[in-house]
Amino acid sequence: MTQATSHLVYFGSLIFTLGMVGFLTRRSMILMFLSLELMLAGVSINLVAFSKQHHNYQGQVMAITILTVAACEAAIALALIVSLSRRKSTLDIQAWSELNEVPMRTAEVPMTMVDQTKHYPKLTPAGLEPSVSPSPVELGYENWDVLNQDTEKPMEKTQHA
Amino acid sequence: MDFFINTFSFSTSLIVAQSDLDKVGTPQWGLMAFICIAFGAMGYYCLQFGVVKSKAVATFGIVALVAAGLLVAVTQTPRLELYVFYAFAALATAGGIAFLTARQPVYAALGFATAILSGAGVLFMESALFVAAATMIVYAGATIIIFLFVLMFAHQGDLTNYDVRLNHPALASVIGAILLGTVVMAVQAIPESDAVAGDAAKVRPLSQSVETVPSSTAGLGRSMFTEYLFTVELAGTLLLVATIGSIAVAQRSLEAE
Repeated sequence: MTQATSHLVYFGSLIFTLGMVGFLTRRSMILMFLSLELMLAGVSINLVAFSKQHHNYQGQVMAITILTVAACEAAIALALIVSLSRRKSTLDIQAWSELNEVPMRTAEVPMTMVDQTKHYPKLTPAGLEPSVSPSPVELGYENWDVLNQDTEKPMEKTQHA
Repeated sequence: MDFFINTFSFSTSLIVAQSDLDKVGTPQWGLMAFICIAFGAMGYYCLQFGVVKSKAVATFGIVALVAAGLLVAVTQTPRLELYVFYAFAALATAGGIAFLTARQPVYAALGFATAILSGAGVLFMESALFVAAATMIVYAGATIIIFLFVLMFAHQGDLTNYDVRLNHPALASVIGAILLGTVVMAVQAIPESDAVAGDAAKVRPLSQSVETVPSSTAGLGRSMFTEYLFTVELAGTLLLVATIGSIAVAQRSLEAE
């Protein structure tokens, strides 16, 4: 490799690295797009250097192709920037870091271990008169239905969980 | 993964190339390049974290650039076209650094325009005339439109949060320094050879060659429309698809509004 070619390769890689660092660090969408263009420019400088090294036009044709790709990318990127900044009215790329849906909430009521031994049915001992529990109307509860609904709801949740 | 494989192969080729060290070139130059890269990464890191003031770094960078230019001018054979080449390269590097370190988006776009136009000057000096002209036309148009975008979106004077607080500057500078150091190491591993007529057969293994240095636009056009005609057709198709796609994307955003 001749000295001029190697210096040109250093120059192209330096431009590419500047663009890459800019692309990694910038958060504004326009400046990220400019960093991409800088990376493409560095690559095309490298290709022209290799074209001169190999004494044919292959590298220059590839540089022109890269130029075409850069033009296409500019058109699409600008359309995307316009449409995205209209949605959220910011150029920050981190506003779009969550393209997925809102994550599903986990069940609020944790699963509890039920002590099975407490729920064994107990037989009333024979020979004694069974005690009669008083009805809620006798105890003075007016809104019996509301009370019943309130106590039933968490019971359903635990069963589903 | 490929990066590590490449690095490994580069290191092995370095070991191979050490057997004939006199052909590789001066190793001091490579060491200096590594030191410069490390200083650049450290300077970028310090600048992003506000350790140093911006103007001090800028003056230091300019002094370093002038010193590098003087060094190159001393070591190289004094030819005018080499001076112009290195001047364009230094200007493009300065524009890229200004693009990277500017807080205001308008100044960053100015630095980008400087870098691209100076890069076109470098291509011009490398006798790739059509590529230089096309680069200037395409990027000048794109840059003007970007300028309009920046002026529309960003209000001058007040910096937004996403312009000031960047994304992992330390990690990015380390990655950039590693990439640049690897490229420098790889290029220095290749033994230097002047492309004289005897060596030219070794130098171009890719495809059939042209007799002289590829500098004429007519030759480029002949090569493009005979050998690489399929590439031209593909590029045209790509342009058409990109035009349709960008119109579709912009239209959809209009309908959603």
